[in-house]
Amino acid sequence: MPTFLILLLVTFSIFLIGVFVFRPQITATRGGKMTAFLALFALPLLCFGMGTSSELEHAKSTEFCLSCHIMEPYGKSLRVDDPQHLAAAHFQNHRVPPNEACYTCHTNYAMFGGIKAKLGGLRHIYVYYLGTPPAPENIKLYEPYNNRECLHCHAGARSFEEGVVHAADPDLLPALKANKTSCISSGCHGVVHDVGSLKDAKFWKGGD
Amino acid sequence: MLRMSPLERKLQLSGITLILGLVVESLCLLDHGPIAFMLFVGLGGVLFAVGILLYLYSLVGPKVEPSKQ
Repeated sequence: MPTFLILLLVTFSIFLIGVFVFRPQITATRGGKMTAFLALFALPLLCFGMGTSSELEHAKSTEFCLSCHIMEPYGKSLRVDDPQHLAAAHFQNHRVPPNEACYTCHTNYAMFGGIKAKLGGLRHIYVYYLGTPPAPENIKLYEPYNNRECLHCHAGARSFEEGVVHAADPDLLPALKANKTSCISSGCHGVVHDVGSLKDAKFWKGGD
Repeated sequence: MLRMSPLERKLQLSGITLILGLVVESLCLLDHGPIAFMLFVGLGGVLFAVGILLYLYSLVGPKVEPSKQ
């Protein structure tokens, strides 16, 4: 829902609640009691629910993730002009939605994955503002990247199942699907966000 | 000056808390950074919860007739 509609509802709620703050006597009537229920219970709940939904949706955006200074190099790495760079190739070719690029790959496609991603985000904010954030090139994932996140989109796709390299070794696809061999292991799709070598990289200018 | 009954006082307190929560929510919706998100969930959420609980408490508290103007 557009933010301005939520703000409109919030303004209306404030006005209605204001009536009860300045004239609480009106709750003496039946109509007043019903309006009080609407103003002091139903509308605030609705406003909070809609606001939370809007905020959570916005928290998935690439802009939100890159708003922390420490993430800037990761944002730049999405524009590296080299198809060997996995994150850049996905972002530039819209294999992931560009406006939710970080979230699409870094959420967990298992039960409660979205909640875990949000809790991880809270931990990032804690470290960023209250802890000692590492240098961008030293940032590591909390746990090794799970192939499940890649397979969420690629499993069943012809380019994945019948790809020359994937099909060359009959043991490879089962190992990838069982997460025994990582998609991002060296020699496969090993270059993801190479933030250490950005100063020598060429950047794609399109997509704005 | 009119005297207010405890029920009216609770309703007023609940209203003021909810208005503060709604103001926090509007400010956070205008700014989309991580701090705004934290304030929305932390401060806004607490204000909403306190306001609504105060209102509910006023309903189940001892029955007092609201003062007549």
